[in-house]
Amino acid sequence: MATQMLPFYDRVEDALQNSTLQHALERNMPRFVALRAQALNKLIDEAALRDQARAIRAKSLARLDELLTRLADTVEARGGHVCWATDGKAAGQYIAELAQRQAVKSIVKSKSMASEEIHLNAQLEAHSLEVIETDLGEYIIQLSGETPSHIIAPAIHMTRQEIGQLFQEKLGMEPTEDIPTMTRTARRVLRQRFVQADMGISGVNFGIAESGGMVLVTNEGNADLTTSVPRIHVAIMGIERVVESLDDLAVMLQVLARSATGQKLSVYTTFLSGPTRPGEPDGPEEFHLILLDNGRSRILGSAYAEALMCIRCGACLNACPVYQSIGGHAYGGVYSGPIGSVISPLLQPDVPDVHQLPYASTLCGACQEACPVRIALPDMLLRLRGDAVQAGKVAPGEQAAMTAWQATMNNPALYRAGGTMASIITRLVGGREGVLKQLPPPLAGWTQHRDFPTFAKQSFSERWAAQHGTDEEPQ
Amino acid sequence: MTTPRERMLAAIRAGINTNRAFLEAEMQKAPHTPPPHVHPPADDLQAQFVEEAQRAGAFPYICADAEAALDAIQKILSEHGANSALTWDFAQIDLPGLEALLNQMQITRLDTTVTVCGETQAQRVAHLHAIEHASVGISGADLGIAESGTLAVMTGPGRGRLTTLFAPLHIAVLPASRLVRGLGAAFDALRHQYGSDIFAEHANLTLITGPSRTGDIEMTLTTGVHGPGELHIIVLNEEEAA
Repeated sequence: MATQMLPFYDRVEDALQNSTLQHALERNMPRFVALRAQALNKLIDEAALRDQARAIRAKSLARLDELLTRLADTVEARGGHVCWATDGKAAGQYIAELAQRQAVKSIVKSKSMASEEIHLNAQLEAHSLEVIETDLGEYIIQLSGETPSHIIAPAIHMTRQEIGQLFQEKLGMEPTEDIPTMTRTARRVLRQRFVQADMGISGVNFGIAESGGMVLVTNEGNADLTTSVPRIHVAIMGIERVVESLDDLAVMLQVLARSATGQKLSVYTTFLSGPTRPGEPDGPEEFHLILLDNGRSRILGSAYAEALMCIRCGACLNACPVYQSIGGHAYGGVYSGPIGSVISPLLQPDVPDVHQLPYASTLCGACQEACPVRIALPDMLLRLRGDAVQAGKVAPGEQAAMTAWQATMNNPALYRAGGTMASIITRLVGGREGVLKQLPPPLAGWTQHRDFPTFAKQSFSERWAAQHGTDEEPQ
Repeated sequence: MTTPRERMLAAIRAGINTNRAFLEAEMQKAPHTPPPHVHPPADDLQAQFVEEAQRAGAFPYICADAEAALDAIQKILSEHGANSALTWDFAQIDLPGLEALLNQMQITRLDTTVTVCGETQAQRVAHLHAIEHASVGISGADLGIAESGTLAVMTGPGRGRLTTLFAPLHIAVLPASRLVRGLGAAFDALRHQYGSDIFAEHANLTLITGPSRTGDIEMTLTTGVHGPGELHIIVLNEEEAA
C-alpha cells in the first residue's frame, strides 16, 4: 500500500529493483502475449470480428442514455432494484444502507474493477461490514494487504513461496509449496464464507439492455457462487458496460476471453436477469444493480470518449513494453498499463503523480495493435501529455529544455554545432568502449538503468556530403 | 430537485452530444450482426465438440444410447466413490433410467432447495450445509457449442444452479441433437427454444467451458478452485427414447 503513495518515479524505481516482480514479469508476460496471438490467429477473420466489436462498443456509447434506461427499466420489471450512483460515495452509501436494513453481517465479493476504483471494501469496512474477496488472486492480495497488480491476474507479482507463507500464517495451512494444496485450502476456507454470507457483490462484464441481463465472466466460478449462494446479490456496473442485445454479446464474448487469456470462452460465462424466479430451487431473493458514473459521463464528453470502449481484457497491459518492465503497482491506481495511463487521470485523479502516467509509454503502438476494439491508446497518451503541459504540470526545467530543443531544431547551424560538440565530448568520456555509464544531471535519469552510446565520429550530414561529393543538405 | 437518475442521464446526453459525430461514424463502420461461428466449420460437430471439450479440460463421452450413457455414468460415480448427489429433477435430464441407477448404487439424492422465501438466514445456511459435502452434481444441458467445447445450461424450476457448481464433480447429459457450431448459432437456438427474450421466464443461463480453473498462483493451471474440478459430459446419441 505504502509504495503507491510514493511519487511515480520512486514507484517505478521500486518495481525495477524488485527481483521477484521482475522474474514474474519475465516469465509470464510472454505467455499472455503468445496465448492471445494463437487464439486470434485461428479465427476465420480476426480483423472483421474486431471491427464488429469496435462498432458495437461505439453503438453502446452513442446510445448510452437510451440503453441504460432500457436496462434499468427491464431490471426493475424483473423484480430487481436499480441505484443510479453519480460517484463512488453514492454507491458505497447505497450498499451500506442496504446491508444495514437487511441485517447483513458478512459479504462475499467476486472481482470487480469498478468496486476497486471506488475503494468499496474500505467504505463498507468503515460500516463494520466484513467483505471477503473470492477470486483466488484477489483473496491472496486481500490477505497480504496489497492491491492488484494486473487486471486479470491480480497476484501475478507474488511467488508460490510467498503465497504459501501467507496461507500458513493466515489460514493455518501446513507448510507446502504445492500449488494444488494451496488452491484446495483456499476452496475450503472460501466455501464456508460463501455459505455464511448474507450478501454477494459482483462486478458486471456486460449489461444487456434488452433483457436486463448481467453477464459475468470468470474461470473459477466464484462469481457464480457469489451471485447464487447468498440471499442478496448486488451487481456494480460502470455505466459504459451496457450492450444492446444478446447478438451484440455474441461478438463481444468472442473477443474478450481470447484477448485476455487466449481461451475461446472463459470457463464460466453467466447471465443473470433479476432475482430468483418463482419455483426456482436456488438463487438470490433480492437483486440490486448499481449503475456507476464516477466520472464516466465526463469522459464521454471529452476528447477521450473512446477509452470507454474498453472491455477490461488486459491485452494492452501484456503487450506494453513499459508494463512488461514495471508491472501494475507502479501505476499507482487500480487501472494499470496503457489503458490505466489513459483512464486513471480521468477516473482516479487522487492517485499521486497521475498526470505522469501518460509518459510511461514509448508510444510504440503495441497496445492499440493488441486492443480487441482498437482503442487509439498511443494517440490519447500523447494528447494527455499535452494536457499536462497545458495545465502547467511539467518537471522543473522541462519547459526550458524544450524551448532550447525547438530553437536548435529550427537552426541548422546551431544543430550542427551541437552535434559536433556532443560527438567530441561523449567520445572523450566514453572512450574505447563507446558507452557512457553515467550522464551528468539533468540527463542522469537516462543512464540510471541503461548505458548511453557515444555519438558517431562523423555526423550523418558529414557522411552524406562525403559520399555524394557535395555539401548539399540531405532532404 | 432532480433524481440521481435524471442527473446522470442528463450528463450522459451532454457527453453524447459532444462526441455524437465520432461515435455514430464508428458504430457504422462494421455490421453488428454476429457470425454464427468464428472458426472454419468442421465436418463432424460431435468430433469437434469432443476435441474442444477435452482441450478445455473436460471429459466428454460419446454414447450410442441410454444404456451406454448409464454405463458411463455408473463408472464415473463408482470411480469417485460417490455417495450423495445433487441432481436436477429427472424429467429435466434427457436420460431415462438415471433415477434407477442412483437408487441401485445407493446414492442419496440431496434436496437442492435453498431459496425458500420468508425463511431466515439461519435456515438458508442450514440448507447449504446440508448439501455442501455432496459428491456429485448431475444436470442436463440445453446446448453444446462445438467450436469451443461449451455447455449452455439454462436453470429454472427443477433445474438448480448449484447442481452444476457446488460439488467437486459435475456430470452433464447432453443430447447430441443439441450440438451447434458456434456462439452466434447457440443464441439463435436458445431464442428458438425460449422466445426472443430468453430471460423472460428464466433468470440464469451459464455457458460452461471445462472445469473450474485458476492460474492465479504463478500462472500454473489448477482445477477445482471454486466449482467442480472435474466436468464429465455425456453426449447421448439417442433421440428422447422415453
